[in-house]
Amino acid sequence: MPTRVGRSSALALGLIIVITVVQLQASHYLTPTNIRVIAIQLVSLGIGALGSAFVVASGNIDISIGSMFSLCGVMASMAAAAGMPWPLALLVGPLMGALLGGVNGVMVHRLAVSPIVVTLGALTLYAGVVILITRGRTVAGVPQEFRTVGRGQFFAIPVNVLIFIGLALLAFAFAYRIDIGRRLLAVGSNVRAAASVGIPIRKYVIGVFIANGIMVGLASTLSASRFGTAAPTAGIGYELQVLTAVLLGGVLFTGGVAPIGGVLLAVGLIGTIRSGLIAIGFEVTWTNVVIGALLIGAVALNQFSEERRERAVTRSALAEALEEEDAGISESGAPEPDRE
Amino acid sequence: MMVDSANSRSTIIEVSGVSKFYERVRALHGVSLSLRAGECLGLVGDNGAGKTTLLRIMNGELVPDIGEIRVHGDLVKEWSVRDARRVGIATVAQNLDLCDELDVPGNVFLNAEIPRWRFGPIGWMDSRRIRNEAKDLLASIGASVPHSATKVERLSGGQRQAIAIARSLRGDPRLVLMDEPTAALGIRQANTILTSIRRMVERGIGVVIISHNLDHVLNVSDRLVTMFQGRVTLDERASAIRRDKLLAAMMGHRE
Repeated sequence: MPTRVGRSSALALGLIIVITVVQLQASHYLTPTNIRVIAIQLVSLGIGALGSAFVVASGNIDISIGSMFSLCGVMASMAAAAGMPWPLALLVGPLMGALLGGVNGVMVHRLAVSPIVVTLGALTLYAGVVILITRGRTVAGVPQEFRTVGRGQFFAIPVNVLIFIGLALLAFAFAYRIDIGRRLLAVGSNVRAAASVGIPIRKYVIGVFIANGIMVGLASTLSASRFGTAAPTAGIGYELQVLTAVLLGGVLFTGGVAPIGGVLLAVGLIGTIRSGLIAIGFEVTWTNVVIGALLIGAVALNQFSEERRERAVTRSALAEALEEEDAGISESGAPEPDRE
Repeated sequence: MMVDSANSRSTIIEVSGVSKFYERVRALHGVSLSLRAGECLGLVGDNGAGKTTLLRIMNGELVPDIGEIRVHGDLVKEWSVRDARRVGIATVAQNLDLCDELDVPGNVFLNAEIPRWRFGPIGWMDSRRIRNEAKDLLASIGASVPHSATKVERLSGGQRQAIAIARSLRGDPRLVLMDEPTAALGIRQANTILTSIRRMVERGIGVVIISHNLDHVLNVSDRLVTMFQGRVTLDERASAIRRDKLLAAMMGHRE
């Protein structure tokens, strides 16, 4: 069986290979300054992937996160530009994300149709709203104070990166140690079983969409805070990069598993490929080609894993049946339970 | 013998004159039945006889349209799965309702995880205690399940059934309702599960078992109830029953 450990090892190896190849081609790649830049660039993708990992593990998907990213960043920047104190303006993004995620969650649960269809509609809807409120222009007049967190650092480590590390630790705890995380995975694994033990499915489904919205809103706000503004196009293609990281990391479309370590390694791999291609002189467009190929590869890999898993389960059932036959047990020998 | 000793014990559940309609179809016609602590009742009958409907009424999934339910002698007014659980009635569904991606303790203690500490709705799980208590529950029914970290999808049918039974025993239930617990099992595994059921009964738990396999039901039950087209056609001690009489009752013949 291709274990989670096997998947993580392969991703770690891939990461090392990419870094080595890029370093050989561009000696300036692994300098402290560049590592810092790469780490900062990984934050948006990483936070989004942590949120989406749980949405997919719950048996759902939210592909509207690209438009949500644009809308949340724009709203936070507009709030700051309108004179809202910067700490409050920074909260606008995650709150907006919670609202949009909640709307998606309610629609997915109430309409009981494929979350792909629902969130595809939301992707277009939110993208339209962004264009309407910005008229397609980057938000202007954002005060410098808004950049306090995005440009801030703590013991020379960017605050953005520290927030990401904190969220990653929280995600680990949620996936492996916290009871509501376990129940969420149960919802993704077998919704009927989860309901039969009294897990309130509606709360968990809507809750995971809201949590994901908050993560996207936070990622987007941190990005806006770093650049000092937000563009209405900031989130275009974000959903593809995030879902590539989630699937490559070993989260299955069938739900039930959230291997956070694998997802983080996948985020690292995508981030290094993205920065590495540019470092060795490829055009930015090549990044899309590679990420598209990785997404297809991730889906294929997950499919093969699933097929191997099914074969393994079939083999064990067969072995069990053969063992009973070998023991010479027949239907005529009705079992007599041991009674005292 | 078992019935006599059981008769001296308290009645856990009693349904009287229960009828249930599915639109124009009458699934149950005035069914009356009671079960005592430490008694195993086998419920048999052809498809559509009303066995599962009766089971779903007893576990709170369905509410009778006519008739009443008494639990420990008290007439119940509100009746739901939650109410049934509160008074110690647990169910093992035919499809087991397990989460394949979770491990053994994860399934046994699903939605009842033991916390090391709690902060509002968030509990930090005490994995070691969960593991040990799941092991104890499985041991109490004599089940042999491999390493606790194994995902349940890798386990045999009998082991999966044992996990579902162990889960039903959380919180010391008074009555466990089982729908076809041996249906998907081989002979040896079925025997193990039937032995587990007897262990539960000996601990004083009441058990209702639905099965199409008469050998299994006859071997494990203290009392047999046959149903035909929504009616009870026979209610007798298992040790005293003749197979031809049993089959006749299943075909709708009453004494």
